[in-house]
This record gives sequence, structure tokens and C-alpha cells, in this order.
Amino acid sequence: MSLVEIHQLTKDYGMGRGVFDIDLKVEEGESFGFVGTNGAGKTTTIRHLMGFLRPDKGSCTIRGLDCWKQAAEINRYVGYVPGEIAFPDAPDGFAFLDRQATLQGESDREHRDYILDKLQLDASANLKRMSKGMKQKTAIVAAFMHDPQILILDEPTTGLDPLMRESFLELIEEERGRGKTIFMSSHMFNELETTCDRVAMIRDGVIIDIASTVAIRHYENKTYKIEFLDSADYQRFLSEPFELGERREQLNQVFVNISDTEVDHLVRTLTGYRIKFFTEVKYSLEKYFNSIYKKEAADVQ
Amino acid sequence: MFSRPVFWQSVRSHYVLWVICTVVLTALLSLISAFHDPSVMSSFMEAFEDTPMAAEAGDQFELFGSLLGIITQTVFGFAGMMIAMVYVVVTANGLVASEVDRGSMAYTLSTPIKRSTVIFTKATYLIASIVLMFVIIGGVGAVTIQIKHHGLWGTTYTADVKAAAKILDRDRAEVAADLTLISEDPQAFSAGARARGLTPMVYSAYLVQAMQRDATAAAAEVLGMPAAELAKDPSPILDDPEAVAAAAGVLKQDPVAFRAQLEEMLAQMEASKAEQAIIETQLTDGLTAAAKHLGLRTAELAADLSLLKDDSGAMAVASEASTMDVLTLDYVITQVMASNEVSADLAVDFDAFAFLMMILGFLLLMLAVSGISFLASCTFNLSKHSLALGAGLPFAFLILNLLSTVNDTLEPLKFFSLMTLFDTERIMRGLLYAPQFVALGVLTVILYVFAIRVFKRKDLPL
Repeated sequence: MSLVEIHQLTKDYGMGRGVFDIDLKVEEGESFGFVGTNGAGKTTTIRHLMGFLRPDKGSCTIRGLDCWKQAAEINRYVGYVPGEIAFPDAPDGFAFLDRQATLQGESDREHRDYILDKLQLDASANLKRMSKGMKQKTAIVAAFMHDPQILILDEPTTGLDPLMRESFLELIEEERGRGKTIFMSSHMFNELETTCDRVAMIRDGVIIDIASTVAIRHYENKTYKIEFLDSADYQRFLSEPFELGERREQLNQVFVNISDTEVDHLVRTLTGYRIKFFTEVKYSLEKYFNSIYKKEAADVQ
Repeated sequence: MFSRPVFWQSVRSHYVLWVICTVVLTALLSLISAFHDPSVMSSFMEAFEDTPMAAEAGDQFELFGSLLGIITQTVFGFAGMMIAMVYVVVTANGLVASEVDRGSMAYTLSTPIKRSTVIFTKATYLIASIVLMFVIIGGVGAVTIQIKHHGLWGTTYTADVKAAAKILDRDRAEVAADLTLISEDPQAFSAGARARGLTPMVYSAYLVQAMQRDATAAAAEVLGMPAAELAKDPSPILDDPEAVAAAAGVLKQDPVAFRAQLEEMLAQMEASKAEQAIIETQLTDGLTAAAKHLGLRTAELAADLSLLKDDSGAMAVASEASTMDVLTLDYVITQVMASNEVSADLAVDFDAFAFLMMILGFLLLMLAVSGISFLASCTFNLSKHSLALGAGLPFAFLILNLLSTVNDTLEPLKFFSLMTLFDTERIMRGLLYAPQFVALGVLTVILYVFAIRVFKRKDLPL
């Protein structure tokens, strides 16, 4: 049995809003990303996992326990960063963290201090006057400090500056290395691409596709961008037997879509041309999902 | 079921308002009790006694002139309810709806503490904090009343009864029940007059009036009607031989003689009504002139008539202004002073049980109000919706209750107000109020049970 299982989860808010027939499985030790635009249903799905919402249909389980009925039991193993940061009444960050530790029933300060240090957070600041980034860091510490087995993070990097985002992603990497299971949502493809094993894309409450980032990183279809020295060479190349993507005539540029096995052939062909530059266009999660998006749109038409 | 951390967090988040409201209500009750002066109050009442306003208010006037009456109108009335409800309504909203609305509830519910435990603990906090608030208000209020008026624990005895009992070497209760013991013993009499700070003449008049009061009370008990009502019109006594016997017994008189006396008095009362009104105007004129002469305000002089009585110069001035001769004026003033003393006795008499029941009724009412607010708080995810119902409804009840007292046309509005179940007038009159209290208790339980169930089962946007 998978650690996290979402089975035909449906929550219909009417007017096409909500989530519909979500099916997901996250294995122990896996890092799972959840991507989609605002309002796509990421947070709704996560609220079901936390037992805040009752499914209209279907079910969610974590460690085989029902997320709605046994939420409290599940929370022993879960650390949660909510999508919206609104702290309870507490004078400063430490008071808040102490409060959480009491509620969690854990009092291990060591791990907490380690994470505070990692995120360079001074938790003695007044909770209400903290910047958005500091609040976000405080929320992250609260979720991580009791060293939970599963981390459920709803857009955890919002409000963090680029450097802090790096530190946070490093922290996630570390937790992954320690065998933690991570379920994290974001609207940023790039951060999920580096931290997650698999990424699901949700749109209008429906999972469109689940992609393995490993597979995407080692995707065998590549795109190369070539710029020729002059338009004569450019025109001559168009007749070569390659699958061409976008063409930019004024710049003498052309995009070639090609399988790994044909790269050798391409390079040999190009020796007969004068070129300005030759570069691989990285295939990314974003591109992958965009292509699926476009395909879907085409299918609809 | 119960989580200590959640409880203490609720305390930490809400104690400031609790302290403020508790202090304000306690101070209100204590100050009113401490500064309540029975004799001033009774002369104030007397000044109004024969006005149309008093006639309309009926014996309510007497009821609300006492210390308990004043407390009822303020602490247990509109002002007190407003203050207590501010705490109840704001706290009920803050405990649940506000935390859900802001999202901070997520940090509590993402821990291994069950949702049912969280909500049960919060309900417990709300109930416990309200109960404690009223225990403190009632406790401090009772202590203040006891210190200032000694009327709460044990039966109250007036100063003269205490002094006379000592001289007579008798039980205080015995003396209080039979004032003739004082009037018939010269030593006891002078001790009593000294204890009250009255001249023998005024004290003698007081004793006569006090005995009449006791006789009326005894008859009222036999007849099963309010003593105040009977004092206004004693004629029903004549219809019941037992009542006559009871009243005569108090006065140590023969029932036949008492009956004859009473009949004569009733006839006189009828005849002298007009005369009395004239005397009153004359007295007022005299007082005004004398006050001017003494350099006092009229009200000041009215509060302590001995200032006039003991000053022959002032008496002369008053006599001239009132067109009464000095002897008649002296007699009238003596009677007024004696009746002031009798009224003061009444105001000293504090009904401790009624006070306790008031506190209990007020507490039950506030618990029921908290039930409404808590249910609203558990039902709605938005603070504004929770407050609209959880604060709107209780305050609407309060306004309806207030409107229902304005006049008879609006009186039916009271049937739409929860506050009607806390009927201070019924408690003061000793009428049946237990069913209302039970209703409030049952309502509270239902509202809280329902609120907890709603919260356990609802979707939370956290």
C-alpha cells in the first residue's frame, strides 16, 4: 500500500469549481509535486489530505488511515505548511513555535534549532511585524521541527527571496535524503523539477498528467537551436531531412526537433554549413506540460 | 475530550477582555452597593411617592427603591447585560470563527489533537470563563454589601433593637418581633433612641409607625398579599378576622379594639386626603424658607430634618412660610422623620436569597447567549457572518427587551426576547422563576451540543 493514496476524490463546489475524480498515489520516501494555476484545485486537494474537508465522493488515506475520520492520528506523522500564513496569537516567533511544540506533544529543540539556523530565521521577532518571507520561514520551521515522516507543503516558497528559496530547496533535498515523503504544491515548475520525483499537473480540478522528472531530465527527444551566418546557408538547410520547429528567417535561426540517436547525423550535416552558434534547448517540465496543454487544446478542437 | 494546551491558549488569547468586563461589572456592583444610602434613598422615594409617576409605577416604585432594586436596574439591567454580552459575544466569535476566518486554526488542527477535543475545550473555556466571571461579581458584590450594610448573612437588626435587646437582656429576634418591649421599658426606650440618633419624641413616633408596619406585614401574610399593597389600602384586613387578630397581636391590642381603631383610621384617611395635600405644600414652603435661612439646599435639609427641628430660629421662619404654628409644624416634621426611619429599615433589609438568584439567573442568561454566539461561531467560516448572527441576535434581544418596558403597546415584544426568561421582577417578588431558569439551562445545553456537532462535521477552509 502506498503511503498517501487519493482515490477518486471529488469535491464539487458548483460552477465547475472544486476537484473531480482525483487519483494519486505517493510512495514512501517519494517527493511528489503538485502544479497548477491559481484556483486549479491544489489547495482543495491538500485540505482533504489534512482532514479539513470531507470528500463528496472518494477518499484519501495516509498510512492506510482515513484522512477525514482519523485526521488527528495522521497528524502525528505529518508536518503542514498552510497556503495562507495567519498565525495564532503569540507575542513572538519563539512563543508561537513553543505553542506548536506543546500541541504536537514534542519537545525536541535540537531539530528546531537546526532548521532555524538553516533558514537563518531570528524567531524572536514580533510575529505580527514579521515580513512575509519571515512568516513563511516561521511556518516552515513549525512544520519541520517535530521531524515528521510526511511533509505536506502548500506553496511553501511564496514570499521567500531567491536565496532563501535555494536554502529551502536544499532543506527539502536533505529531508528527502533522510527518507521523508514530501507532498508539495507550487505554481513554479522549476522548483518542483529539481526537488520532486514526480509532478502532477492539475487544471480545473482535474489531473491532466503525472510526469516523472527523471524521465523529463533524460528525455530522448531534444531540440537544438541553430543560427547560420547568412541567409544562403539558412535557405539551403531548410531542404535537409530534419523535423523543423520554429523558423526565424530574419535572424537566420532554426529549431530542430531530433531524437538522441540522430544527433550524430545532424552534427555531420552541419559541417557543410557556416554557423554562428549551435545550442541545445533544455527540455523542461514547463515545456512538457505546455506541450500537453496544447495537445489537449487541439484535441478539444 | 479535553486538551490543556488548547485551554490555556484560549485563556491567553481572551483574558484581557475577560478581566476588563469582570472588573467593570464587579466595580459597578460594589460601588453601587457601597454608596447606596438607605435613608437618602427613602427620602428620595418619599418625595416622589405621591406624584403621578409613582402612581403609574405602582409598587414597582417601592421594589426598585431598595438596594437590590437599584442593583437590578443597573448591574442586572441593560448596562450590566451590555458589558457582559460584549465579553460573551466577542470571545465566542474569537474562539472559533475568527480563527477559522484568519486561518490560524490550521496550526491547532494540524496537530494530533482531535477536532472534537479542540472544540470541546474551547466550549469549556467559554462556559468556565463566564461562570468564573459571575462567581467573582457575586462574591465581591456580596462581600461589599455585607461590609456596608451587614444585610447578607444572618438577619438584620436595626441599631435600636440591638441596643434595647442588650438593656432588656433579651434575644434580638424577640425584641425585633415585639417592639412594645422597647416602648414599655423607659431604659430600653432611651437606649433605642440614642442608638438611632433620634430625639425621644421622634423615636416614639417611629416606634408607633414601625409597629403599624409590622402589624400590616403580619396581616398581609395571613391574607397572602404583598405588604406594600396592604399598607396603601388596609381595608382588606377588616374582611378577615384572622388578619385582624394577627395585626392586633403584633400591637398587643385586643382584636375588637384594633378593628375599631382601624375603621376609624380608614374613615379619617378618606376624609383627610385633601388636607394632607395642603399640609404637604405648606411643608414644602416651610422647608424652602428654612433652608434659605440656614444657608442649605432644600434637598439637603429634607435629607436631615433634625437640622430644622433643633433650630428654633429656622423653625420660626418655616412656621411663618408654611402658615402653620410651630407646634403643628413640629408634629408634622416628627411624623415625617419617623416615617423616613421606617423606610430606611426597609432599604436596609436586603434579600440575600433574591440577590443570589439574580446572579444565578444572570449567569444562566449569559450562558444561553454564549450558546447562541458559539453556535454561530462554529457554523460560519467568516467572522462577519458569525458576528452578524452571534452578536446581532443577542443584542436584538436586548433591544426588544428594553422596548417592551417602554409602554403597554410594545410589551408583547418581550415574547421575542431571550432576556424575558431572566425576570428580575419575579425574582424580587418571590414569584415562580425556576421554570425560566431551567429553560435557559436546557437551551444552553442544546446550543452547545449542536455547536460542537456542527464544528466536528463541517468543512474548514484552512
